[in-house]
Amino acid sequence: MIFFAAIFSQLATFFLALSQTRHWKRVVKATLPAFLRFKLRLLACFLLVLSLIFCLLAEGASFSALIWPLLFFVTSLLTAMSLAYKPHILEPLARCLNYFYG
Amino acid sequence: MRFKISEHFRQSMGWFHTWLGVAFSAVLFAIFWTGTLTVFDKEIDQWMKPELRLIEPSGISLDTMVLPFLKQLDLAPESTVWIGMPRERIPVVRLFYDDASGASHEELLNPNTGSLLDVTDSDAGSEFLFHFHYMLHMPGILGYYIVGISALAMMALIISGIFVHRKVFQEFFTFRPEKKSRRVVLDMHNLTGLIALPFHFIIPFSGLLILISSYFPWSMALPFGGDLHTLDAQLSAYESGLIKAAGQPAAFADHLDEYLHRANAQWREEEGENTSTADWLAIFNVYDAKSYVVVERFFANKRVALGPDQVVFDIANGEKIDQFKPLPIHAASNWLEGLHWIQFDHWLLRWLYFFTGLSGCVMIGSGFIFWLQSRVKKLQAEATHVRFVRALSIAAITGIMLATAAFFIANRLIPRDISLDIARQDLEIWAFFLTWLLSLLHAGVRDKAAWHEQCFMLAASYPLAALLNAITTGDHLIASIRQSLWAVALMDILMLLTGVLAAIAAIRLQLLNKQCYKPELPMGQ
Repeated sequence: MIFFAAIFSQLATFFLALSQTRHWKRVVKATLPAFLRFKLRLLACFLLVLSLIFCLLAEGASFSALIWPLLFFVTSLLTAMSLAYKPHILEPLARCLNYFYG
Repeated sequence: MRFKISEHFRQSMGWFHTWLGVAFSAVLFAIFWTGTLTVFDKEIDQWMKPELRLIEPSGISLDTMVLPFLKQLDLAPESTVWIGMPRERIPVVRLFYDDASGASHEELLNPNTGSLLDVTDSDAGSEFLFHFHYMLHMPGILGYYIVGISALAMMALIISGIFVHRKVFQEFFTFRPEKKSRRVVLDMHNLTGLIALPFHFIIPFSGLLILISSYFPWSMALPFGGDLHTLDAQLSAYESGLIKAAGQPAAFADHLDEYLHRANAQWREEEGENTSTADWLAIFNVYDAKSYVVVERFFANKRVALGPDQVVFDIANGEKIDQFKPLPIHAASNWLEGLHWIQFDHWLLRWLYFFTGLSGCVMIGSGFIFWLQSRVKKLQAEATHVRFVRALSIAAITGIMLATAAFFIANRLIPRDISLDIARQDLEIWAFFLTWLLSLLHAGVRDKAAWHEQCFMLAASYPLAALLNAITTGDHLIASIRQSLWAVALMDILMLLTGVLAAIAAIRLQLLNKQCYKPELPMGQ
């Protein structure tokens, strides 16, 4: 359960990062379409809520109140480092999103 | 209407953030560093006291393992004995009691044999590092107040930092290692500050909440006419027991296991099979007719809140006489205290705390370094006040890390049975503070070069500590893993990793130093 919460949190931070013009440009080498930005942020919010639900189911409210924001911290850091050093690993994800939602 | 921050306000906040940061960063780094280490305080204890390297027993009988030892002690009739149950992170039985002469004792028993453990005299993680975290190892109340004011400063820095940052959301995941070093440092400061912002705010806040009665004891003394002595007397009376001794002698309690079993069964009945079991068992008025047992646990399952659940039994007739649970009104403060104490059994959360704590260190350190690099840009790199802050920042960042390594190395080098006028554990603490002082002197003398030189020292000292552990105890990394001594293996791995990272940092800093600061030519050339 907590593994899935971490995965959803990681995907959410990827989507949030890709919804920013600078990061999208760095990954895809193209301009981010305006309508995709909104969809990416919506998707990220949905995944973050899903991550919270999985945390709650796995650990209860007391621990989830700590685990969820700290998972968000770790996954955000991973996302920032991926964008800084290996932006190409996000390219397939960005292209998929562009294909399905673009 | 859209809220817009005026440039004047932003500049004011920038000034406030800069100078408050410069004033408090050294202390804040020390508090955060020791706090982060304290996340693994029990593991540090096992590393520094090899006698504690035991495997937690699957079950323990207090009647056969502990009771015979307790019965041979010279205790006053109204004495209290506290028995700490072995846990995964503390795999020994802990005993606290006052003898007939009133002297306090702490003993550790092997949970598998019931024999007394002769443990290395060291304040290790749960004493020295933990106490340093909230009182800086200072006498009296001074350290408490410095830490308290620093925690307030941290909260003010976090809030002012949000206003200073121009593009909070646009630069949320931004880290640009290819930019100039000053920009990289600022990116690192913003990134670590922003993504863990709730943690960096709630940790000093909960710390202040925990120690509020130490900072403002007068508010607690108000119901007692504002007299602190009366307050102390009342608290001591409460801690020494709710039922007064009858003055009639009685035999020592038997069947301690039964009380444990009944309390655990009670909690299981209320909360389900997987709920946590008792942490402590205390016997009050041990040789008196009014003797009673308190079975206590601090963290029920699925709970962060630090609140004792207690079940009280009368020893004379074996009946349950009371059951205490924290009141709902305490839930919020207990949760905040629990999240700061980090004594719950949750390994994932413990690691998340560790990494977030390290990110706090990076945030504070990078803020310090950004200020210094800004002075270089303003051509003030050689100004006396900048040199002073640079020496202070080197001692605050790499210095305290070196001091911690010296603390570990001293622990492994000082013989167990050394007989000097000074206690063995104090020698380790002296090694810590002397190394810290030397790092400050080194930074003052060597200036910028001290950055990479101290990183090289870190690269050598942490692996040395791991090596000394292997030599003095035989528990090298592979042996620790084979014997399932995870605490020792964890410590060794982290030390080796620190050594590698410090070596990489040292080489990079050396190169950067050559690029950033060109040699100064004499006047006229």
